[in-house]
Order: sequence, then structure tokens, then C-alpha cells
Amino acid sequence: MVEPESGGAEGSEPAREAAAEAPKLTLAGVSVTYRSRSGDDVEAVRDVSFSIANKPGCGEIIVFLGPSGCGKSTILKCVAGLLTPTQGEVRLDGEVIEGVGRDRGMVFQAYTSFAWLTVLENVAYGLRLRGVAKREAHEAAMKYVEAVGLADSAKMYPKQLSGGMKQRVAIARTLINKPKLLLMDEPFGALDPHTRWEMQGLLVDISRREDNTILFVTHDVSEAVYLADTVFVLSARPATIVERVDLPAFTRRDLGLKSSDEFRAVEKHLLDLLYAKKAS
Amino acid sequence: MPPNEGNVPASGPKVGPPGVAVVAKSRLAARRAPESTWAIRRPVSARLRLPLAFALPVLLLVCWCVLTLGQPPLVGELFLPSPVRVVQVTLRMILDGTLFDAVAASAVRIALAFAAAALVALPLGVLMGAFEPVERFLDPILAPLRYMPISAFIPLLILWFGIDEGEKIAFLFLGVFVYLLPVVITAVRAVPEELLQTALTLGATRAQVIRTVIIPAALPDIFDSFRVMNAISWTYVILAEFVNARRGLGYLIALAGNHLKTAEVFSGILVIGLIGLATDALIRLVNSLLFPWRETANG
Ligand SMILES: Nc1ncnc2c1ncn2[C@@H]1O[C@H](COP(=O)(O)OP(=O)(O)OP(=O)(O)O)[C@@H](O)[C@H]1O
Ligand SMILES: [Mg+2]
Repeated sequence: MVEPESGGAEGSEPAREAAAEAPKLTLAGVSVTYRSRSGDDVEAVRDVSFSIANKPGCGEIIVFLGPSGCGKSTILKCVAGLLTPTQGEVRLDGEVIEGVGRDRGMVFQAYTSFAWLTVLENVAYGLRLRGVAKREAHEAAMKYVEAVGLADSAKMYPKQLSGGMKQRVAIARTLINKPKLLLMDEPFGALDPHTRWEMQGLLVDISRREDNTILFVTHDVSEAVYLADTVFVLSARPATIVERVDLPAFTRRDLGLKSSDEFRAVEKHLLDLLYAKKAS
Repeated sequence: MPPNEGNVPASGPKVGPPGVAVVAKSRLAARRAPESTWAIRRPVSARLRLPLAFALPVLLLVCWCVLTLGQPPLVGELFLPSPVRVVQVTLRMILDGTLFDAVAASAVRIALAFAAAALVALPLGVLMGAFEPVERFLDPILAPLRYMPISAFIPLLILWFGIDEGEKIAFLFLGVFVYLLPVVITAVRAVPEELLQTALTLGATRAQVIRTVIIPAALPDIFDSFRVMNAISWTYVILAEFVNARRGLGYLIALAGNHLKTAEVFSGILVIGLIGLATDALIRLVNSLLFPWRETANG
């Protein structure tokens, strides 16, 4: 499907090899203004445009980094289809997004495990919605439960799980739908530093194994550098893109990385971008 | 009994997790040297618990005995029958079957009215909680109903349903329904937005969101409210049976009152209290069996 938009997207970015192909995700002039009941308008997102190239067979992590309350979640919700932009459009594989779809899964900061379902039933939920028989669905779900390291807890209810385990459930439950995009809204924001570390490692593993593109929202600079292939730095509200930073491919994402000079340099660069914009 | 006795917002008390209380307490204890029984929110020590629980009942019983067991008693039998007499009368009513008969009649009325109220209030409440247009459409009628004394409807209900079972069940239905509906709406609204959004992004249709997320998430709160509903039901059933009943606990008490059989009135009141405690425990038990997955802590 060759769309006229693929030509437009090319101009905004340095010529990339992917430009010949239709980009995977394109946001064109997306603005969102919330209108509260009292009639006050809150402009959350202003004229955000970018595109993400299609790289089949390669899981990419795109991170949105911005200050609190700048409109990060709003951008993600537009991509999810939970929100229709006031202006502009979102295209996935060339098609304009209208409403939610299974091809875009979302993981929230708040724990969203269904408390009345076991871990296995939570993960199988998406399949059961489609009418897949219970046994089949549970067999398929078990693979994902194992993939996120919860095999021993498959029969437990969420109330018996730690925060990190609940987020593992949420990730597995989303992956089972094989979404093209995995949208993650500060998924590790409520976790303690150690668990956070583990979960970041898990996510990197997953992105290597599966070929979903992950859109990841955070306001933690070091998390952004650790996870991202590409970082979009956002301004304070209303969110606009300050800069797109393509990160060097860190080959060894391990414990030592975060204290390496290379990592620190990128971190500092992003911090400068965040604060330079805030000061002005 | 004032008819608006039960007109309180039905919200179950939310008791904090015991774990949190312990942490907070130990922090307090570290700061304040003398451990006072009167420190705010300080749990009573195990040694004091039993004496505290029995002190007031025993005291009342002693007063009751002092007032009624003298020869001659300080207070006349007509105003305050002796505990011995109340026990005698209760035993007699148990043995000749009148008590069981009365309790059964009242319980059946409550069960029927309760089932009917739940059958209407559950679907209606889910729709009103999930779809704002439905709520805005119905609220002008349902909101004022909540503030009306339900007993004022009795004459009307007698006109419409006669003086038999129909009227009593309709009255109880109204009483329960008016409280249950807002509870259902609130419980549906309390389901976190992220849960609904998660279901939607996983491919759920609107009907599936309601069936697989909203209803299971809201049910525990709704079932909790059944404890309050139970208390309201017993209040109203007595009221309903004061009028033109031929069976039931309320009828038994009213009849005894009319014939100045004060001991039987006492006996009836005590039985209602015991039934209240028993059904409350039963509802709590059923809830814990139905929703073992429930998070007890807030987090
Ligand atoms: N439903 C809404 N109605 C009105 N204003 C809203 C609504 N949702 C968000 N906003 C406002 O829009 C702005 C952006 O919100 P958003 O949730 O996208 O920010 P965020 O970057 O995700 O913040 P955080 O870091 O706290 O998650 C905020 O100022 C917020 O108050
Ligand atoms: Mg947010």
C-alpha cells in the first residue's frame, strides 16, 4: 500500500533506508484539547508529527520522555484509539486509526489485573473474548505466563502478587493478542528500583524475542536511555516534540551499562534537552 | 419508630488493613514512651477484649434483675417483665411453634421482596452507572424517591395491592430497591477507568466490557451492601406487618402489645436482634466464599 503520506514523512526525517516503505506508525499534526464540563479548555498536545519506520522482524522500543503532566498519556491514548485527536490523524500501516483495536495493546501504570481471574485466566482473557475454547486459550496463555516468568504463580489471584508480578501479568495479557504496537504508559512507575530494573530487563528481552514495536512513556531519563532505540523528548504542556534522538545500539544492556560513560553522555544530552526547554 | 429511620446513605464501613495499623502503631509506640490504652486508634489488648465485650450486657442484665426480681418487683410486670418471664415466654413460643411460624412468614416476605428488588435494581443500576444518558433520564424520578419516607406509601400500596401479601411485599420491595439502586450505580462507577480501557484495547466489545469487567468488579461492593439491606428489610417488615397482617414477627409483636403481653413483645424484639446478627454473619460468610479473590488491603 503506497500512500501519499509516505512521501511527506520522508521530508521531516533524515533520509532513511526505510523511507521507501510505508512507515509503521505516523502521527500527522496531532493536537488534543480537553474540554472540561465547566467549559475550560486544556490543551494537552500541540501539533505532534512523527513517523516510525517499518522494520519487520525487529522489535523496536520508542520512548516518549517528558515532564509530568505534559501530555504523554494523551499521545499514547490517541495511538490506542481510546481518544480521538482534536486535530490531525494517526495512521498505523497506512490506515487511519478509528477507535481501539486488538493490534494495539496497552499497559498502564495503575495495576489492571482483573482481580477475579487467576494469572492464567487474566492472560487468556483476550483469547476468551474471541471465543477461543477455554482449554486452548489456557494452553496458549501458559506460554506467555512462562515467558514473563510467572509459571509458578499461574493459579494465583492478583491479590497474592507483588506489583512487579502484576505488571508481568499485564504485559503477558497484552502480548497474547500479538499486537503490532505495545503501548506502555509508565508501566514501571509504581515499582521499587530493584523490581524496576528487573522489569526493564524483561522488556528488552521481550522486544528482542517478539517483533512488536513498543511505545514506552516515562519521565525517568535513565529508564529512557536504557530501553530506547529512539527517544522523543517532549516539552511541558502542551506537549510538542522537542527533539528526536536515535540512540546508539547498546549491545550489552546489563548492570554495568548504566554507569558507563557512553550511557552517561546520552543521559546528560537528554537531561539538557528536557531542562533547556523548561527554562525558556 | 420514625419512618426515615433507615434513610442513611448506605455505605459499608471500610476498615483499614490490619497490617497497616500495626506498622502505624509500632511507629507511635517508638515515639511515645508510656503505652496508653487511650492512644488514638490503639487496638485493645487481648486481656481487655473479653471483659469489655461483656461489661455492658452484664450490667444491663443486673439492672434488669434488680428492677424486676424483687418481691414485690420495683417495676410492674406490665412495664418491664422479668428476664425469667421473658425466657419462659420465649421457650413456650418456640415449643408451640408460634415463633418459628412468625419468623418464617417474615423471612419469606423479605426473601421475595429482596429477590424482586435485586432483579430490577441490578440491571437498571448497571445501565445507569455505565451509560450517563440512562441515568440522566431516570434520575429525576428516582432521586427524590430516596428522600421520601417509604412508610408514607403504605396507604397507597394498600389501595393498589390490597391488604394481603402483595401490599407487604410491594412495600418491602420499594424500601430495598430505593437503597440498592444507588449502591449498584456507585459500585459500577467505582470500577477504575483503566480496567475498562484495558479490556477495550484487548478487543472487548461494549457488551463484553460490561459482562466481563464491570459486573465482576462491582459485585463485591454490591454484595457488601446486602448487609445494610438486610437490616433495612427487617426494620420494614415489622412496620409492614403492623398493618393488617395475620402472620409474621411484626404481627406477633403488635398483637402482644395490644393484649398487654409485654413479655411477648420483649421476646419478639430479642428474636429480631438475634436474627439480625445471624443473617449478618451469614451474609458475610457467603461474601467471603463468593469472592475469595477480593483484595482486602487498599493497594
Ligand atoms: N480527561 C481530561 N480532562 C481534562 N483534562 C485532562 C484530562 N486528561 C488529562 N488532562 C490534562 O491534560 C494534561 C496532560 O495529561 P496527560 O495525562 O496526558 O499527562 P502525562 O504527561 O501523561 O502526565 P503524567 O506524567 O502525570 O502521567 C494534564 O494537564 C491533564 O491535567
Ligand atoms: Mg500519564
